Amino acid sequence: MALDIAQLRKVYPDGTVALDGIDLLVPDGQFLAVIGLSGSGKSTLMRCINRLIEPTSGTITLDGIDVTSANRQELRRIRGQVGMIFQQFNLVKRSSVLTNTLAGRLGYVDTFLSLINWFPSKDRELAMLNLTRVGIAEKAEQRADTLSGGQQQRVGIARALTQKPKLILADEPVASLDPATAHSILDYLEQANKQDGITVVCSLHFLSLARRYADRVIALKAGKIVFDGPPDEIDDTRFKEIYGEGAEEVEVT
Amino acid sequence: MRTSPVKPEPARSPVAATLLSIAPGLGQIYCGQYKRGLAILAVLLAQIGVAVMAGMPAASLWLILIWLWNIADAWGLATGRRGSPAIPIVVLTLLNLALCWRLSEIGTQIRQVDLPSGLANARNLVSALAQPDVLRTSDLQTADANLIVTKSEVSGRPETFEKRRPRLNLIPTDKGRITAAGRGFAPGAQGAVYLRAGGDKKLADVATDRSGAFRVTFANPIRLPGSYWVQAEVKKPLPLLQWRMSDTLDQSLKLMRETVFLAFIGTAVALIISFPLSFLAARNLAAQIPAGWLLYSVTRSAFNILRSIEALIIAVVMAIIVGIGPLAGALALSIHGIGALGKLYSEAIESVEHGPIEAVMSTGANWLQVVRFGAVPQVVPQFIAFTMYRWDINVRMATVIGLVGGGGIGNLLYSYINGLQWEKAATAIWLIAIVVMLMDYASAVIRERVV
Repeated sequence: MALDIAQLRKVYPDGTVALDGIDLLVPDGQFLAVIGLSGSGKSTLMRCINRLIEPTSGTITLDGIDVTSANRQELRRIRGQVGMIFQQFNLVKRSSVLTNTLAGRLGYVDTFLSLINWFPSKDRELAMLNLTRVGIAEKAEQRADTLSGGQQQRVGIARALTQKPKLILADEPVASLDPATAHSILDYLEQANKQDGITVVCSLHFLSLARRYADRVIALKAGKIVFDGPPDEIDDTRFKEIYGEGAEEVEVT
Repeated sequence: MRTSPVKPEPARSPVAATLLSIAPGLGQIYCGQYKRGLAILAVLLAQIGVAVMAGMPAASLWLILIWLWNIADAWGLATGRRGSPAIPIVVLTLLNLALCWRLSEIGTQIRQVDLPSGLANARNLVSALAQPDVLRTSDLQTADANLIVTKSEVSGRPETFEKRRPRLNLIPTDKGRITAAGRGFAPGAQGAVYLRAGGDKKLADVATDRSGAFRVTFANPIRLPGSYWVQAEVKKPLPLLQWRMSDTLDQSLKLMRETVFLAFIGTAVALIISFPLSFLAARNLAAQIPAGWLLYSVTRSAFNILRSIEALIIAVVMAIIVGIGPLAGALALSIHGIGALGKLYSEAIESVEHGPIEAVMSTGANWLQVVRFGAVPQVVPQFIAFTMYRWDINVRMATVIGLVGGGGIGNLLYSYINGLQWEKAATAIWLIAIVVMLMDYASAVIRERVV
């Protein structure tokens, strides 16, 4: 899914300018990493794309469909095609792993049947298939809060994949995980990107991770794009521009 | 006194501040503390108003203390210190305590209390509590006879003729005395002979011999000619294994059951109605739907209004509308419960983690699905706990509501107390205490388990 953002601005009610005129074109099938300091606007950008946060002005189009002017019903249809992965995993802790994964089908199933927790068998199969894919099928009936952080994020990925998305928004998916686990999570995202052709927009803390996984990197600073290009173009000077003078790069291997 | 530095303000003259504060609050306003100044003025005026309405305008003189504090405070503010409001708070509290004491006439009533007779009544109840009417250890055997009095003679006629039943004979003797002879009673038992006419009158105590017969002589109690009902009553002691619940306990248990069911119905109806509405009354979820703030305001206000009307008052109103009885009680508990549970539920919903809700929204779920998959699983334990707690409260409430005509054991207790039947009242009180403690314990255990 191609993403086209034009002149996107977000000003919070307290006057904070989170996004200050973002222009961004992401072609179908790209793995885009978004880097920048905390508070640079990464999360806000992610959430504006599926309108979990309402943009102040500007337009966002997905495959030519205008997200910013979509009504509630259209927005739900768009959200169904856009999977989202969160830093805090955002699983419903008291629900089972399978129920959390099946939530990915909510945009597609009959409301009434879903309310009594009835999902078509092909949806259940799809959910189990994706749990198998991320390697935790045997935990399907466990409560989500019995899982470790890395396992919970894998459920998050399975939930997103169960939407059969054309775009995955990953908001700091590995910031709460240890380095080894971080790689396994990003491997799943890379797999979704390369094998299924899903466009991925992923915000990351560590430049080394962006270098390893992304086709392209944009850097945000105070709500503006300050770098846009292939990851190997970020040299020491650029790095200091993005992260500030005192910063030093930390390798995550 | 706690002091804290005031924001750097342009220098104020302490003298001017002090002089200005002769008009209460003006000195503070001069020092830039507008809210403080206005608050002082408003509180003083309101307090004078209250004192005048209470019919004690002279009490306002005590406010001079606050006025003096106000002057000191203005001087302090001008020199850069914010003083503690402890003095005005203490003065206002004591002053209002005095006003309320006078207004509510508590003082008058205290002088009228008759402590000795009050304590005597209390002693009746306390001694009854030590011997509640719970067991039936004896059977009552009765035999009837008619005492026929004419102008010339007195005669007796037994009323019981069956073979195995006890029998009472009345035999007039000379000198206007009557002998009562009973037989067929339990051997070696105690009892009495009564005249059942216009209030019972005990004629004589009796004790049966080994064959179950007794014989006792008493003065003829009758002056006017007629036929009178005389009854012999013998308590036949029961062997331990045949002891049964007393009628009082039996009836108390029935009405206690009614009270617990009443509380259950009240809780269940409140649950069914407030559960769906509480999601609209939660700010975080209502914000996700069009006109959500309107639905939020309407449901939240409805909950607040229902909750703030005491169930007891609703019960009185309902007893007028639908009549005294369990229906009025159930309606009162339901109506009050909708507000009470709805508020607790919606506050629980407002405190859920936002992340899972955001995640479910991001999948394209509609509002009902967000509620079902994002919010409900998070609040289930709290909802169970609140509902159990409500049932527990409702059992106590239902008892009190019974006193004002809401049915259940409260009603029974009320009639026992009114009839000065202390042993019976004690039975009901013990039963209420035991059931309330059990409910309290059970709801605590369940709450611990689910949370």
